[in-house]
Amino acid sequence: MSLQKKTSPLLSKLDNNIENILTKIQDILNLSTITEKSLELQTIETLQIESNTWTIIRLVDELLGLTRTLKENWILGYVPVSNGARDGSGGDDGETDDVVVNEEVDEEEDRKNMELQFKINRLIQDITGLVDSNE
Amino acid sequence: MSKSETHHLLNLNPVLIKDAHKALPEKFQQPDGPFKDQSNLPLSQLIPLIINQRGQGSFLNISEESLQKEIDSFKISPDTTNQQTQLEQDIEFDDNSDTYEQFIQKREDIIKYIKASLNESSLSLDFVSLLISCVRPAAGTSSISPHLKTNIKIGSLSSDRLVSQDAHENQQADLSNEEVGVIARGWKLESLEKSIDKLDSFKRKLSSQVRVDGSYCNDLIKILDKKEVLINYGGGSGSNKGTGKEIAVKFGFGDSGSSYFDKGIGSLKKDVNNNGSIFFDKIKFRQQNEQRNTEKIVSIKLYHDTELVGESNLKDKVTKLMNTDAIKVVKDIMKARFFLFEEELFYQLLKEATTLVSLQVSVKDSNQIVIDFHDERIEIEFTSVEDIPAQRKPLKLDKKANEISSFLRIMLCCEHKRNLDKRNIPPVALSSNMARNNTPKTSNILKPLINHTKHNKIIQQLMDILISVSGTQLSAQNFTLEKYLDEKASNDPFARCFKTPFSRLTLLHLNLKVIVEIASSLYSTITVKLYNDKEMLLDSRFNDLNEVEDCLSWCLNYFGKNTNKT
Repeated sequence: MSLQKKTSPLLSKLDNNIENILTKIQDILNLSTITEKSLELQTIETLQIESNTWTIIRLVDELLGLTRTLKENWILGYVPVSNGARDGSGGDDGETDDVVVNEEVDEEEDRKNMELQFKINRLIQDITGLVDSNE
Repeated sequence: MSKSETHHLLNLNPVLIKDAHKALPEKFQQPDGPFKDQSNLPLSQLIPLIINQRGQGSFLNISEESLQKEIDSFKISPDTTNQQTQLEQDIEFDDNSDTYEQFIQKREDIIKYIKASLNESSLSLDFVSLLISCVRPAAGTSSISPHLKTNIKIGSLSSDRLVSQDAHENQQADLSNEEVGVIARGWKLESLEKSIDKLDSFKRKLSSQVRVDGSYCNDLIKILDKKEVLINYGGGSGSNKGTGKEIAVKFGFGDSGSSYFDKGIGSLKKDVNNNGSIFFDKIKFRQQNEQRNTEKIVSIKLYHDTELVGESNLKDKVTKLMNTDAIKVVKDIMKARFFLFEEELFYQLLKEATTLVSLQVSVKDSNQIVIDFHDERIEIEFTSVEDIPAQRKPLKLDKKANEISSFLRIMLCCEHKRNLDKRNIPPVALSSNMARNNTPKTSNILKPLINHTKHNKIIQQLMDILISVSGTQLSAQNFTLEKYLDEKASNDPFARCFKTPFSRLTLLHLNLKVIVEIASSLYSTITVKLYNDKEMLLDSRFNDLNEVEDCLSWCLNYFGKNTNKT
């Protein structure tokens, strides 16, 4: 839902801009004709041609901005996955699996904690102990 | 307009009018003309007239010589006398040609004309002033006459220029349809060509921008691959101000539980000059100045008495960091993170050190912390990387120094973890009393190191005492040392660091059992218990090692002997 909310304005903007560009090109072609018009009208039309060109440039620039927005959203919406994390694919199999996996994870964590504790205790022993300084 | 009316209307300056005839030759200035017999004048008028005619040379200092000189001077300049006579002749001639009445009439006429012209000029001045006052009121009102000013509204007169447009219309009407077509074709061709040029230049700009964007994006992905956290940083600082959003990398430890003021955010910017390659720009926070050298690390030095016996070696770590196989941006981020950690470590150490004065911890020059253990000294220094020599000779306690430096770093990580865990606890409702007690907690990095070191030193000293008082060597048969007694099995890997160490020494001497228990927090408390076969003989508490020694030596002597006899 949220994805749709985010993308629909982007899509509509893309469509709008392309449509506008095409209309402007058509306008320029129409304006280029010189039949049966007064000199004043012709003057205005020459200016309109240039203004339409500027509009096209602006619209294309907006399209570039659109690609930037897409990239930004893509990059900022990306969540890095750590190496130890599990795949989310098993989510449909029910809760029992999760519980088992959780227990495994807990055990793994406990084991790691114990290991860490042992190492730290040894480190404290080493850096504060008498043995080293006597040696 | 009669004369009196103009006077009234224009309110001419009376001085102007009165003195108008002064412009006339001097002779005519006399109210009744020169022909009135001067001898008929009353004396009061005649004398000033004579004095006036005499001019500058007054009659005050008149002498025979001066009169003679005057007469001579007339003789010397015959030209002037000639002129005078000529003038007199002219006048005489005029007099002859006109009658006295005619002359008076002419004079009156002249005066009338002059007055009229003055009046006219004043009127025109008023007209112009009124006209100007429409455009520039200040300039207009300064020269306008007071009468006009009071009776007519300023700026009520205005002017404009109208140009006939007939010529233009005629010209255009003359152009035929064909001619219009030719002109229009030229114009439109021109504007189409202009449009083509614009589109062409824009195309080039666009493609270069796309290239820049592409390489920027690729670099961002490389950074993402290194598991960095990218955020949207809305600040925009320095030269990039006003661009609003920019992508930044969070390399600091703010999300890992660090409470350090520098959250470690760096914006990732496009280097427009260098084909859009990315560069890393650390965002400065308050309290940080530009000059600060951030490339500093915490190093440990160990001294035995005054001799340097060990030094931690972080140079390898730094060089390893510099030589990692990654693009420059990633390397920069890693570097920034490394040095940020060092900075925070030292900051926390300093903060803690100031609270540990009672444990012989002192701070020197705000970049050195010294922990004194009498015979041993640990110096923690915050030195910049350049100051560390690349090569130095290894010392025997280098390993220990390295271990200490690792320990300090691990403890900071542990601090962070505890902070993080604290954030996960749902907040409890605080009473007003508890809320007030909200002082920031100092970290707990140095304290475990100091506590355990001191504790172990005291154990060593007590063992020495036991040897000396008992007179026997300590061996496995008669002596046991139990450490960390009150430690419960805990899930917390750092449990030992936050417990006050508690140890027990047990010595079997003759028929006595000596138990010495040591609990060290800020100070060590030593409890000595003495048992014989049947009963407890002694249970007392000491704070000083000498007292323990005295007590033990007496007790062992006294009870040891006694039991030997009995």
